[in-house]
Amino acid sequence: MSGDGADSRLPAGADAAPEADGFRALAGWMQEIAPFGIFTTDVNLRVRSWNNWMIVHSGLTADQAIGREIAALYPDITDRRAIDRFTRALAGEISVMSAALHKHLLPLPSTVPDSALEHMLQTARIAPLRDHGSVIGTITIIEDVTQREVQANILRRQQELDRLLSASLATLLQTDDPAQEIGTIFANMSPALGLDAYVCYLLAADAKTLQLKLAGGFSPRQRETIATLSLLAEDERTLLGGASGSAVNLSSHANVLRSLGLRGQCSFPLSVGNRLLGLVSFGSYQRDAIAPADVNVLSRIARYVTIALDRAIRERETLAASRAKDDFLAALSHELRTPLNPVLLLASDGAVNLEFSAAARESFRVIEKNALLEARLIDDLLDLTRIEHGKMRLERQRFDMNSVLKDALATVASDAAERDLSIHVDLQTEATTLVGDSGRLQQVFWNVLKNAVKFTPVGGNVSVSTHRQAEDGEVLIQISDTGIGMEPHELLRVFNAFSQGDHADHGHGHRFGGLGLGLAITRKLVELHSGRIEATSQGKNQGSTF
Amino acid sequence: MELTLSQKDAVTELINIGYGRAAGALSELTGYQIALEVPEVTMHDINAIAPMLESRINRDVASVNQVFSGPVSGNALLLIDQASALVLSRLLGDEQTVSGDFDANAKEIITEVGNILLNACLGVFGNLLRIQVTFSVPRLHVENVTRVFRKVITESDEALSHGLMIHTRFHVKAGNVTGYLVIVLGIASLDRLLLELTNWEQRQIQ
Repeated sequence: MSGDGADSRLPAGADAAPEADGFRALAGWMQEIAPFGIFTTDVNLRVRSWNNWMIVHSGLTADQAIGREIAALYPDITDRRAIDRFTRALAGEISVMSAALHKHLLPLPSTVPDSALEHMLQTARIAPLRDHGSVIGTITIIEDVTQREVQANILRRQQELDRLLSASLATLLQTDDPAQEIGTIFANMSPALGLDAYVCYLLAADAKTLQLKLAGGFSPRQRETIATLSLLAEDERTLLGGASGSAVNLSSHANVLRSLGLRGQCSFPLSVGNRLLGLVSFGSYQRDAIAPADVNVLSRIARYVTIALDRAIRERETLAASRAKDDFLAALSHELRTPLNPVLLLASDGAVNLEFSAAARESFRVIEKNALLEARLIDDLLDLTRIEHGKMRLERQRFDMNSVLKDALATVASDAAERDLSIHVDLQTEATTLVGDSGRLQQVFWNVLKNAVKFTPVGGNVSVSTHRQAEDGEVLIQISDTGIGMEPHELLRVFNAFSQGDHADHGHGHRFGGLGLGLAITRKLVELHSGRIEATSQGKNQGSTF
Repeated sequence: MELTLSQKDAVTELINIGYGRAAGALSELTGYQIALEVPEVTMHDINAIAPMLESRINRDVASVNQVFSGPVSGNALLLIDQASALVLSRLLGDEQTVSGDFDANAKEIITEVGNILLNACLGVFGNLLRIQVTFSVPRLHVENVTRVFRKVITESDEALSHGLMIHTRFHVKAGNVTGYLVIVLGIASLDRLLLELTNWEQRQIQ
């Protein structure tokens, strides 16, 4: 405090009684330290006191302010009709003047230097000053809310940008052509970021040039200038070297953009690990530099675009690979199977052609049998691959299960007879109608029956039975044999593709032949019909039941 | 206790005059055409007001209140539910200054609106009814209605008896916001108010 008479700083109306000294000191002290502007006037609206805050922010000392009409010190008040508030205060009214509606009461300099604000934002309160009931002047309190506003603005802007970024990400992930979406995203974000132009390059097939995919804010002729960007070795290092999402400085590129008038600019590589997908750059014709906070936002956009681009590329590749696999499967089936057809035809003809000797006919039978085996193995392999790729097409028709079982039994009948096996059949007398692929289900039954016959020693038993489980309408089909059976560990893998029982492991060679696919296919076919299959056995040589 | 029809008419007319001034001030301040409507004026027992308002505003309410004293003394409140208060502050402020929450800016706008309205109405009572009143600094609170009135009752010097409830509608740009102006009075103040009302009516007739 200066050495001036304390009077000039005190609110009017404090009288001279001894308690008043205490009051004066308190009031005086409070005005000095208050973080608000406090000034009082008399009934003619001449300044009577002017606190320290007012001195600091107005640049007027107490001597310069006191005694002058407030409207003379700040003519602006009259222009803006704020003077009415003082007049009404003299009539006894208290006024609140919010910063949102008035911006300021007095045009004092802004306290946040680098904001766009010319004046301090203020909320003011003007009230009558009373002494013994009558109004003797006014008191005004000015609160500086500039900082609050600037912070609130920053927050609002951040929230808006976050919202735009999330919306952009959602768009990018849903589109088939992410690079195309950049135009829309940019159009949404550039007002908020104060940018004028953008370019998006994608890596060409030669992996050495970036080709312009999309640009905005350039004239057609300018676009021609930036249509391609050749990458030098060091450019590639620059582009792939930085941390993901960080801006890069590609000097040749930056210079070209600058020659087109873009001053502030930043570029981001679109890269996934070591793969460069492209480059995106943003620029401003007006600003010399892009603020770090804005660079962060642009970096996020670049990352989102990269994610979306990478995803789109991988999806296209997956689709192409899948189609290639389909084509391969079709070709494979044709190529493997076709040569067998003439072989089978000739062999089966030869086996019954009486013009050939019995020995020759027997040879043809052997050829036929083995060619058939070969054909079946190929068919199994193809079936399995088709099922694994979800490409197995099943018919959906009504058929009688009993007749399908009987057909399957018929196909193994001769083999069973050869081995002197007796087959017991106990089918439900009523017809059981199922919906599904009868051919494939016959294949299922045949697979299991074939195994039963194959693995049962001469003179054994195979029995087939069916029951309808009354409760849920499921049909249970049981095929048992008195054959070599399975140990628990064999049971565990019995349905696995390419796995065979222990019999195949013991150096006898593949005594029973085959690839071990039959049951794997069987299970898959059963499951595709919404059914279940399981295997049980009491142990080695104790037979099995499926 | 009920207002007679002619008392109701008189109060409504007074409030309309006050509101006319307030609307003019707000329009000038914001640059938008603002109209204030008084659809209904009723008088209630002080304890009945909170429950009745709760049934109409079932959320938190922004309340601006000014205590007034003089021959007629009491507490004048403007009550707007928080969501509507936010809408009103956005209609009056510009998009740049008011965000999505009922933040400091929005609160200040509502305080000023309340201040303008309350000053206008109390001023009208003062001028036309020739009653000298002094006001306190307007204060804004956001809380439920019951608490608002509990505070009003406990903070009053006088035993409070009744409150004048004035259903208010703000028409701003394309929006409408509803609020309630409540003037709570002590018994003696109420009698004096009604007396001065009658005097005013007499003066009108002459």
